Amino acid sequence: MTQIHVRSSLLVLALALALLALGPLLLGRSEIRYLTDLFVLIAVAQLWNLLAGYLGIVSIGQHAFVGLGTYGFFALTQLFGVHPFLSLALAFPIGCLVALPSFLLLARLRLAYFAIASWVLAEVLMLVLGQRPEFGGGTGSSFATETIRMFGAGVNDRIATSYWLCLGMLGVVMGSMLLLLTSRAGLAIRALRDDETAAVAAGINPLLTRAVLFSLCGGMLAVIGALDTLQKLRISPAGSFSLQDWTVMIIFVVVIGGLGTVSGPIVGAIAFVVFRETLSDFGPLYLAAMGVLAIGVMLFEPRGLVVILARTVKSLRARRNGLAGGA
Amino acid sequence: MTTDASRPLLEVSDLHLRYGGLRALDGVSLTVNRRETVAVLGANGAGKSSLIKAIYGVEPFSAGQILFDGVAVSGRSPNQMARAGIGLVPEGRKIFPSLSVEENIRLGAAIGGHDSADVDRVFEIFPELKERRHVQGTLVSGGQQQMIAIGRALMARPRLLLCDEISLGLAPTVVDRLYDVIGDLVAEGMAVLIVEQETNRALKSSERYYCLLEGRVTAQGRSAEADQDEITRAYFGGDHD
Amino acid sequence: MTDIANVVIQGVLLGGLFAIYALGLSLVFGVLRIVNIAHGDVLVLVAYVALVICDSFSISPFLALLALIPLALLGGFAFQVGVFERVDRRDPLVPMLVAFGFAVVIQNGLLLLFGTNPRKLDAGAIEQLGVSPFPGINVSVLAVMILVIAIVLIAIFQAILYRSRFGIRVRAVSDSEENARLIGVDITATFRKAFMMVMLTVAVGAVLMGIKTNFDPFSGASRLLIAFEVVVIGGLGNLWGTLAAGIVIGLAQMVGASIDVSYQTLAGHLVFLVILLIRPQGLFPKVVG
Repeated sequence: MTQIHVRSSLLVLALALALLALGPLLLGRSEIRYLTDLFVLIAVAQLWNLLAGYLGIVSIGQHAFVGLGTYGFFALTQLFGVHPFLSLALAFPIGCLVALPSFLLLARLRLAYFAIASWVLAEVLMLVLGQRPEFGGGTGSSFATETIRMFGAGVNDRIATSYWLCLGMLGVVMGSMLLLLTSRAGLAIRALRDDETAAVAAGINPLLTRAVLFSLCGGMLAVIGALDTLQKLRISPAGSFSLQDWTVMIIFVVVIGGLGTVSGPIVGAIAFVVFRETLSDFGPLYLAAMGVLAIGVMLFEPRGLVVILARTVKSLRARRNGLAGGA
Repeated sequence: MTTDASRPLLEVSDLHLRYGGLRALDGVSLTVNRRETVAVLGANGAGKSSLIKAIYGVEPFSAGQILFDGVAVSGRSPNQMARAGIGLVPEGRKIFPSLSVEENIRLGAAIGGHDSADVDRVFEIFPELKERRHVQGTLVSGGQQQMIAIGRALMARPRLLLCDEISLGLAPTVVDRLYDVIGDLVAEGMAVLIVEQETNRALKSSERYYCLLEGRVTAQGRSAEADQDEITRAYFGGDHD
Repeated sequence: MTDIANVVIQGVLLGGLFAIYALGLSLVFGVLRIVNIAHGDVLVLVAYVALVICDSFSISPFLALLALIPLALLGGFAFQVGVFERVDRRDPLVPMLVAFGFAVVIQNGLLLLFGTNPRKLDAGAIEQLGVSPFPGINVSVLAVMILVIAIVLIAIFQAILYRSRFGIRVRAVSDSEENARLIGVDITATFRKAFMMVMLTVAVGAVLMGIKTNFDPFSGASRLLIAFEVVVIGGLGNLWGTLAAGIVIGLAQMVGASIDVSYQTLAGHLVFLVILLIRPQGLFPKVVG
């Protein structure tokens, strides 16, 4: 039963990815950009969801690893002359190697404190890297044209490459998450958040499991940071280590969509993009509105939009059935 | 509010309590009169602790009625129960590690409502606590922690004391001492409801008993007339003859 | 030599302000058990309210504090009853995310109302007043005043927590909310009063912060991080430890700043991480009163 379930969800994922891969051939430039943003948003949200919703690791310092990937990619390509595609891949071990000791340090704190301490760590990373003259200090630095050209000669080519890369990354994130959660260890991992003793009884070492997965998430975030910087074409401490973009909004996306579900971050990300586009004329108002929405969800249905939607559909269907029965 | 002295102080009728699908209490009724010690007996999981928790407003029950001194107190919080004049000596004593022995006792007065009895009175009853009044509450012996828990409940001058498994894990001499104190309190006018696994101990110290099995009262009567075989049957259920 | 002395003096004095930020947060963490991510933003919000009061009535911020304290308590009470008591607290993540939502709402609300320009409260001549007990040593009167206020506030809080019935209740709830409820402690009332104490520190802290430093709608984060570091280093439940920890972070920041201004914040964070590495339980563990 579970095997079939796993296979079918992986099949759905593969189909969706294949369909979306046709995007650059069919869509206009702004739609492509739009979707690229959405892929990145969902990928980052999914990683936060894995940590907070399944493993019980609440971090508000995820922007540290995105920024680290960005700066690492810049250092490799611009300072050491490494090939950009190789540099993209190398962002992964860089992220893992920094995330692992970070986790072991912060894991000495209880859940609640972990969150804020991870933020302190992100600040430290930003302040240290942001002050190095090699990276242009506080103002940041741009990529050399020849690096950018490696990803496509014209703007359209580059946008398409970026689209495919981000889609691929989303596929990697979603695929590995599905495989992990449905694996034999996955059931025990799911228990980590609510019932650590049950996870231990199932043969899981909580600290080791969390450390390894936190570290892998750090690596993936670093790759995502490197991919994202290809669209922005420059690095800066405030932009690359943006608390708002990579942590605040991500948490809202997961919370609004539904923490601890695979579909939650997807629903949340779509709701977020719709929200942003509708209210973007009002400046910071849309952020405040997101905050209000998140508070509302937490107060009235902490399981998020996914559950609210499911319930609405159910009651609508029940009403229709009721009407049909009455007629 | 004048009260009818002949009426029971506590009247519990037809109490039902469920945890999910599990029936912890299935229609329990009992009374405690003024100046009376009533024992509730039963094995582990018979519903004894659930009964105390339901009476004290810790666990919301699904059906039933609780009258204290003729007034309906169903659905009240533990704080309101304490203010109404019911003291609880909880299972596991619940001593707070951040508070000293004396502060743990004073906490009972800080619950509010009543004038606080003097801490000195508690120290008179349990002189060994006075010597260790500044020691961290969880660092004294188990028997002394049980004394703190009783002293804490006495601080609000309750008319009814609920005692949940006070003999658990304590040496027999200490248990004798605690039950002597309870006897003195009853002589002074307090009513006591004790929940005990140790049947003999409880029967010796009470006027009446109730026996619980699977959330139901399976036997009741005067403790002095209790029949050992009947209690055993009521305690374990099934046919043990 | 005098340079070093000046850095140390400034660091110690700055520690007083940090201790006030942390005083409220340590109650929120230790008693109410909420990871109040919005603590810094609430400080900044109250500082803006102080600014409006000062500007509207052309009064000194210290005088404005008389109106600000009741306002802050009232606002806190409304929040407590209207939001906090309705939050499902069984999962600690839920109240934390609610606080997170409020942080963002406060930041962007302030941004809409006041713009990004940094603001300051004007306390008048006292800001420039300094004394020089020894040649080359300069001590700001305002900074000394802030430290004295911090000490007085901590002494009052210490007395409340360790000398009153309410303090016994607070510490019992802090040990175990469940057990305290079981034996009859009124948790809701205890939380409300404890939160009033928090809001008192917020009102005082906001005014002193506004006089001592610039603030803008996004200043809350840095204040939260400082307060958090002080709470962790100081250890929960020991308020003098909070003062000492405030001074540790204050000193670290001033030493950092004396090397290079851009190192000020970083130095504070690094000292925090080093202490976390060697003594995760904090420098000043809990004592029994």
